[in-house]
Amino acid sequence: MANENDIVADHGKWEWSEMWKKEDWWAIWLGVFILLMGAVIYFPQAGTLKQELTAIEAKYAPEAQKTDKFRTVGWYQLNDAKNSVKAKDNAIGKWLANYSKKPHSWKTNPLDAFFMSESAASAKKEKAVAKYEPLKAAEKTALAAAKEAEAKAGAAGFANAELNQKAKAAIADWREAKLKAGNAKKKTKAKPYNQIGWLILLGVSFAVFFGIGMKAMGNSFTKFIIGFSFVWLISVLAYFASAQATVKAYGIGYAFWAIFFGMLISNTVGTPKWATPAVQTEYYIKTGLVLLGASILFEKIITIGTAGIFVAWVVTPTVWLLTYYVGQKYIKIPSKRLNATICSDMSVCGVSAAIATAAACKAKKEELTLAVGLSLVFTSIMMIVMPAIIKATFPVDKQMILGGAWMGGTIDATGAVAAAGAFLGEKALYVAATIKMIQNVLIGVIAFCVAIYFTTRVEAEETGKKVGAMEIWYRFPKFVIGFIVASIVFSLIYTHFNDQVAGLGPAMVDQGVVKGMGDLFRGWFFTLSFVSIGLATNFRELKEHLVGGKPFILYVFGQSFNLCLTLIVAYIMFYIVFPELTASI
Amino acid sequence: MQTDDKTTMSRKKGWTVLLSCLFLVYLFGVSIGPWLQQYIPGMDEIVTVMEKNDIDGGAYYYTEIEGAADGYAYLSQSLRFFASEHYSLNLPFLSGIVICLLLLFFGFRLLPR
Repeated sequence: MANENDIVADHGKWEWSEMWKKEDWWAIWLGVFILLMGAVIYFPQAGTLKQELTAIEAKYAPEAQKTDKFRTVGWYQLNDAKNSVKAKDNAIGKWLANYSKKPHSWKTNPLDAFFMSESAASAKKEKAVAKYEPLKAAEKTALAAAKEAEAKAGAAGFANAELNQKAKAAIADWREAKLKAGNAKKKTKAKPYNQIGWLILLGVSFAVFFGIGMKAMGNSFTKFIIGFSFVWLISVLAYFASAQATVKAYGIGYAFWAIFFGMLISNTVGTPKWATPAVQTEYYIKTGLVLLGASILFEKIITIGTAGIFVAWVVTPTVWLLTYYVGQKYIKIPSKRLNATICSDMSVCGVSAAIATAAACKAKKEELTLAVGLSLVFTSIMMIVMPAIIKATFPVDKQMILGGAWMGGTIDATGAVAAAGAFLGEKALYVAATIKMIQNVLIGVIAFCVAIYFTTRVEAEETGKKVGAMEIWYRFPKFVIGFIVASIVFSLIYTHFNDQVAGLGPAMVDQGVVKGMGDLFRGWFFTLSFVSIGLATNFRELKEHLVGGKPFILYVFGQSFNLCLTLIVAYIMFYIVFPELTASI
Repeated sequence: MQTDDKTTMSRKKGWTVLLSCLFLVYLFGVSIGPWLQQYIPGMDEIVTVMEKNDIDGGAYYYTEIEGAADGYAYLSQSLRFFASEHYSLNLPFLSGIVICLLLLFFGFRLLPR
């Protein structure tokens, strides 16, 4: 997302010094440093966690595989026990979680985002325990009933359909009671906190972390540190706003608030001159994207079988390409980069895909802002409208799987997908979130294709030069290499762990390096970049892109096509081609 | 304070607009938003579901949502136990990946200039 006059690769020659003088490479080094730290902290636990998972398998697997007529109590206990094994649950992981914590949720008192006194925490805990105790007892009773019903079905050799159905219903009641008790239990862990100290420590660490790279790139370390304090403050403000209960309910996330507050400041009182050395959109975003790469794990695409791959990986590129084509040929979007960013935003997975694509095609900051804004508006609407439509029009037996797949493939943001899925039921939530997760994996592939396309075709047309192999290398956004390599390396590690014992991959990578390290910082880095975008954006510049409403028309066209195609393909795959797969969910 | 020349507002007007907007954001969170909620069909139910399941509606990526990890565990275990033939790199699955890559390969080549 560079200004056209500072596109790094336009020098047309390769110098080794780029590797320590250009931000693309610094983004890679900083991202790799964080991921390596994560590996050093969590991977030595592999042996212990492997033993733990093997013991869980030995304990629950025979019970879990007792019958294929329904999911037994043992099946769920195996699943729950495996899910509870997390590398990030060690002492360093807990410290890192505190160190990088965002402002807490709050409803009416803004101070709740940063402080909670001992007495307030005790009162909250007491209230939560009073709610939790009866739910815990209800869960215990439901479990006993489920086990009894299962035993009766088992005594009949699982051949009596009526007993099987009763056991299934009792187990479902137990799961519902467990979910309620689990959520109530979380609230009993209320502890006093003072986030201010942690936020200052985190801000100073980030300032030094990014400041080292700035210094190496020939900028003033001191000026960067001073400016960073301002950008940091607005980033905290963005998270503070996104933590408000109503704002969360409307699905308005930190990206919106970061851009909004940045733009509000720059267009009212103005961005202070001393803050501008730290307004480094691309530097932060590319570092965040290298971290994002580590969470793009290719084995995940198998989660829901062939049906899932067709819904997420065949529909998505089809929608992307057709929408881009229509955008250029018929709607005549003036900027190919805006077109590409909106296409990824709408067809892949919203903000994260928009960020990756915008960086890969070197889109302008206003173009990314516009794409994020469009996504936000449509996500909020679709999150409410789609489950209502599904409930009102879909046959009951198809609401969970077909409805879940439809929403997972079309709603942009994962949070909204989860909310809409949960509205229909647990299965719909799982299917919707999984389809979205498989789409998320496509970000790397799409970003790579977009980088190649813009390097070899669009930039070649713009400059009028024929692009040879070396020229492609000069122009290619190098951070994409870090992004792709991180994805490949962590995918291989993930598969290597899973080959040892099922569940070790998620425990070590997902619930270790990714959630216990990369994710803790990635959100902050994206927020810093969005604040930088806002601070450098003029309302008038943004307005220019809105003239004629072309981006809006493009989004509506693409999303309408996406809705139709996803529904058709999901129906064909889940109910015509692979009904036995659907029955197993 | 020296500022970047992005605004044409006077200093006084700038600060007034900034502080008013911040106050409006606060007002949206604590009163306008909840009031508006009751007039948006289905909104109250979605909010209840989000609170019950501890879902952050503003999350952008699958790792930020607990439901994605639970869903992954539930579905992969379901397929492994009840439909293991579908939980492998079989021909139909690989054909899906190949179709995706072919679409991207030829699609990007055929995009209009």
